[in-house]
Amino acid sequence: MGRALSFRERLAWSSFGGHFVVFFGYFSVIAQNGTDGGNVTAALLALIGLGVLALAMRFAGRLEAPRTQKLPDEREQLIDLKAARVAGAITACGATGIIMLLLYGYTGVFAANVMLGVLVLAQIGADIARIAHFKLGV
Amino acid sequence: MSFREKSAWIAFVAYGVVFGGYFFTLWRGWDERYAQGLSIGLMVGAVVMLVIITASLTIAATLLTPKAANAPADERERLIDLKAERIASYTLSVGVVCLIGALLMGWNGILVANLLLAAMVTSEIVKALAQIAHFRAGV
Repeated sequence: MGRALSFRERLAWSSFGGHFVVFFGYFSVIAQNGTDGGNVTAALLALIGLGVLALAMRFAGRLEAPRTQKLPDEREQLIDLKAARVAGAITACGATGIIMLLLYGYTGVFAANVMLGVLVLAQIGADIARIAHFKLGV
Repeated sequence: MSFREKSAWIAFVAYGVVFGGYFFTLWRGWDERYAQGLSIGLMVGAVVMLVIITASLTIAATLLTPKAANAPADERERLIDLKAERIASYTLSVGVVCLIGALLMGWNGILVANLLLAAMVTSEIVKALAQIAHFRAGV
């Protein structure tokens, strides 16, 4: 018999699913353009979409939480910190790669899309870390 | 002062000195025609300098307090590390978002590469400062 998911674990699953569905579609289309990088407006809209999704998850965490889980407990705070570490490591590795891309003359729009991809990967990595920590019982 | 607080000070000083020098030299010698070669050359030099300075200062700190250097991090130190890393992660993410905007507005790629490096250095300095602040505040 499986245990019931806590509110914040469900939120991590929602965030993971949301980011995966939205940006898998976007990057599948962008990948067809190769290193040309695609459209500036589309990249800008994707960036705004990422911001909106992040804000929506944050507000959902504040507004939709059950009365007993309004504030994260000590364990959930620790899981959040560990997930942020994973996101930070992915962002730092990605940023190093993007510096190389830019120094070797790749187009700005391509690099912008790779940067966006790094941010999305960092968010997905953090969600996976959160889910794994919840499952493992950190 | 604990060994990990010393390590945070070492990171703060090393990043400040090396990349302060890097960005000052780049600013003085900036010319769009040679920016690519200048950036790559300076970046390699800065990374080598960073490794040398950090390793030297860490070895010196270890020799002064060998017992503390070999002790595993306690729960408080691990929590301080995690909190500092979260602040650094947010700092870098804000920098990356701003620079995506700059690239989409057509800014020079080499300039953005250097600004991205500046964002990474800033996040490391912020991390070291956050660690020091948490150690001082007694988290």
